[in-house]
Amino acid sequence: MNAFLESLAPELREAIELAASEVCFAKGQNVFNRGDAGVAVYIIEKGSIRVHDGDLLLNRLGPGEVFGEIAGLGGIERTASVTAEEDLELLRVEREALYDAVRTRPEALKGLVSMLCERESGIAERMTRRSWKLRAAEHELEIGRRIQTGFLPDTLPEIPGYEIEGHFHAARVVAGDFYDAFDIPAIGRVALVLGDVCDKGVGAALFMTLFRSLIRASAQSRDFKSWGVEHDPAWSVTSGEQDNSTLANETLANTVALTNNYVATTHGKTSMFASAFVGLLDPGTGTLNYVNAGHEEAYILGNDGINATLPPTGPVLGIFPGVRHEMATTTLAPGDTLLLYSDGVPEATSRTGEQFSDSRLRDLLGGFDGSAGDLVEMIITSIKDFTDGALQHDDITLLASRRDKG
Amino acid sequence: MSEDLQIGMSREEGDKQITVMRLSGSLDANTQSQLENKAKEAIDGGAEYLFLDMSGVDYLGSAGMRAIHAITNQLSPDDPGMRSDRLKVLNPSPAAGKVFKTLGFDSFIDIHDNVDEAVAAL
Repeated sequence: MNAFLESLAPELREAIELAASEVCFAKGQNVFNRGDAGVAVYIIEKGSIRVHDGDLLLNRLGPGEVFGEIAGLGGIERTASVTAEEDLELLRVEREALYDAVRTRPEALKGLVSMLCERESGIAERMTRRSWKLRAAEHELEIGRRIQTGFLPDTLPEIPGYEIEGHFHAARVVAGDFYDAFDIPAIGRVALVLGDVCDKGVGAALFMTLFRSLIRASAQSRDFKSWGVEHDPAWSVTSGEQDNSTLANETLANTVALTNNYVATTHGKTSMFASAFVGLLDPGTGTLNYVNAGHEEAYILGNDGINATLPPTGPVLGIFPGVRHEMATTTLAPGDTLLLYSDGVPEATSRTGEQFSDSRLRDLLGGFDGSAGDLVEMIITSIKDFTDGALQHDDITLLASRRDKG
Repeated sequence: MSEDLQIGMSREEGDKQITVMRLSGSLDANTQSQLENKAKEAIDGGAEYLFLDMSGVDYLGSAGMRAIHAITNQLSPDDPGMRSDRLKVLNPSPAAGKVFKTLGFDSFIDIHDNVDEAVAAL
């Protein structure tokens, strides 16, 4: 006799033994599936089972344990599936047969109710413990969110003759997107950065803080050699006219190479990468030296809509060590706006599963002539109207920088 | 757009241990582990080369690209991050091809029109 039957009051044990029949299942066979009608309770005599919902394992049970009582006695649908983990021998106790046996045994009925209450108390206890654990995890995640928010700039640089506006909205509690804008006084430039770490959630958030910090720190550094990371100091200007922005190009080349090589050589095995647009703006002339590392194309908007698109000049950062990113140059003329955005913008999805799309974004930008703040606001409002409250799949991040008409 | 990923597996006849994985549907944060697990099964089963047929992929997210890079690392564990010779992509859909190009993966992973062309390039 198994441990479960032994633990029961004699009348209840007798009633169960009367109502029970032996059944066997081979390893891998389903005893029942979630949604099936419940007609019986099972007691394991030999072997073990997995209680699961699809791939999600809920419990493992072995000899002497009972399962299936919720739907089996309640006559409701099975709340989970059960599969034999090894060859199984079970006692199958049909509800109606058990009720027949209990009818003439009042002590058995008491025992049955008492047994069920005891099991329910155990379930309630487990639920309470899980809720506490869940609350602790949510609390940790909230701390993570607050810390991560500190990796976005508190304030954006105030540059005479320019307006800069950023926007960030995470799809989950923590995110892989970031934007940044900061002065680099040593070379008289302002850095404009927007990045997107692959994947989502906590892993992406950890790498977001790494990429953002590396880009910010290396762009501010004048002493690249002391970083001790192998990099190729050579650079080349591949588009736009050659200008006198040698220092800017040197800073740009080293920033991108250091960030890429550091992550690729230190964390390459994680396969985590980021796409990023890194631009160094000369506010006086409007010259923008940039690298687009595997990121969405950026736009320069003028009075007549999109004046220029700035496509990728090299691959994403962090997984291809030693790769050379080409640098390019463009100009923000008076009245022009540089718009950087993450793929969460074109990939924002409506309730019917349609994407906002690159073409809808370009159409939207077509006739725009307003401040950077108005531009960001217009894009966000359009996405909100389009998605109409549908679940946000990806982080949405924007950085716009407008040069005054002068 | 399908939110699921289907993976069909077959082995190529010949001297080299090549497994072709035909992907269709959405390769993203929700399905990347399916691809990684199937690829691991194939590699543990002796596959030296994996060809990913991506003609049926209607959405490819960055998480999917991370999975593809992780598989190249598994195929060449001593050479992480470098150019992959053991993983080839076949006939990507326009959506998948665009992501390869934007992220710059097309410089590190060869893309072929079909199995024969990929075998000839080994």
